[in-house]
Amino acid sequence: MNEGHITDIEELLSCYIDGELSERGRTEVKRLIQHDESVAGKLLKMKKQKQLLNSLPIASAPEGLVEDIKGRLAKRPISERFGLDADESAGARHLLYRRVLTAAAMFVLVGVLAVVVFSVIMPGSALRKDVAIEGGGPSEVVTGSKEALVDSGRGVEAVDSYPFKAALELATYESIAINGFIAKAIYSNDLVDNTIPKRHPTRSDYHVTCTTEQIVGLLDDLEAVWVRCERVSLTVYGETVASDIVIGSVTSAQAIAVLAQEKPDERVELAKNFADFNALIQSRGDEGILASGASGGEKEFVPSVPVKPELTRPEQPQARRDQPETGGNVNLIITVTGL
Amino acid sequence: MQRQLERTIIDDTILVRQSQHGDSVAMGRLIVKYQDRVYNTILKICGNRDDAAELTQETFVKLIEKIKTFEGKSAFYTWLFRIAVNLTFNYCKRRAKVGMQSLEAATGPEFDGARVHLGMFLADEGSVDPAVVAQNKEIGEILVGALSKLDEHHRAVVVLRDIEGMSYPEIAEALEIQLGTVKSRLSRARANLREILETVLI
Repeated sequence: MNEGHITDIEELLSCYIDGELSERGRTEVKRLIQHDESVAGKLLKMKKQKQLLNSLPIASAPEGLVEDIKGRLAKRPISERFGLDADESAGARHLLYRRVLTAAAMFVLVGVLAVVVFSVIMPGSALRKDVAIEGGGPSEVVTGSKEALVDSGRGVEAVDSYPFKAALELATYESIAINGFIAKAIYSNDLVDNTIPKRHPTRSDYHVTCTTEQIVGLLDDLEAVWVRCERVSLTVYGETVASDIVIGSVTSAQAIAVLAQEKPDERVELAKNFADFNALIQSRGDEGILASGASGGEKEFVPSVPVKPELTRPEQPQARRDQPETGGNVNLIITVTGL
Repeated sequence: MQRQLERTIIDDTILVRQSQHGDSVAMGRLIVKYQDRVYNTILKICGNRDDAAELTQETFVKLIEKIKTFEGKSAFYTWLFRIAVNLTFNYCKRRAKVGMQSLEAATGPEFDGARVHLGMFLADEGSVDPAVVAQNKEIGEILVGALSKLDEHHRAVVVLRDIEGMSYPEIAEALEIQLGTVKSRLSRARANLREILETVLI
């Protein structure tokens, strides 16, 4: 009798005493115990063992079990105790609703914050500004991006976020010589790193960014250029596009005087005075006033006490860019236009 | 017997349905109805009265929490015992050596008479009432001690069949095993228990 067979007999006997065998199985077991005493003995022990276990006294549950269960449930959190009920309750729905609302509010807040931060730090945000276009006079104002105006080839790329901006336009028949002179002056004033030259078919631009002292030094060196130019004008960019001031037939002394001003208010005031004064000269004829200035040994007239100018254009209240309270750095665009 | 079982199932079905609708009285009746049987089964598997009481409480707490998920695919009775046995198995894993001291204590000299008595009963074909034998406290301790020597899966199947009186299909449902596994496991468990008892008996 091998081990597997013994196991089968064990299972057969086990099922037999439990009454789980078929008629055929029961007959087989009966035949087995009739012919094998050991199997009969084993079956007897199994039966007795089962009877004993089945007769063991049933232990009663501790008294007060129901109360203990109630107490145990009471100690648990309400949500845990009522499980599914809590999910279906109005309170749970209300809580969920509030959570969703809170999450939505947080998303909106984060979104607004992201937009604000993005608008502050994005480099392109500074490009969308009002830009004054040279060539059509101070009244010609175009609104657009800086790149668009540069590409058009006719704009003065005057506007970025640098404090105090001005543009000096030199119209001459000797553009090659003037450009050479300007380049030399930039080099001699150690402003090569501060200058971005740009060549165009009909003009050359020099974007110079430096201190007031440096720009004054540069203009001092450029004084000789004036006599070789047909027209020279200086545009001082104001708080708004409309408040830009164009000084026609500006002299080197006037340009230096304007650019040397430390305070924006004084700079604007002086620029307006020069603009009005030069316009007055133009309207009367150069001989009149300039001749009187020349007769006094002065090459040009610079009023020591500026008269209150008349406004040439309406004041615009809205600010275009931040201007510092005091002077300091200057962004000057020198444009040489060939005639 | 069959009719009684059917009535039990019908009674359970009504009480369960009422409990699922929040009837605490019905739930109380279910607890009272099954508390002794659940406690007894757990005690025979875990071997410690205090822990059995704790596990019985935990079983009924789980029953209350899960009653709404009971779909009636199996009998409530076997579903309840499944909870109880699973909790007890988890307990056994935490305390693997539970019950070992019971059998060692039952092998002392004060148990000599009981062991002789038990040995004679198992080998004798006489008509001694097993209930009388089992009422002997020392014999009862020897039997419980021997049960505790089985591994918990064998112990559970023997307890559910020989003490709780479950049928094979009910055991299969309660332990979530195949019917064939119930047969083979029960056969092996009984053989092991017999060997354990033979080492104890004089």
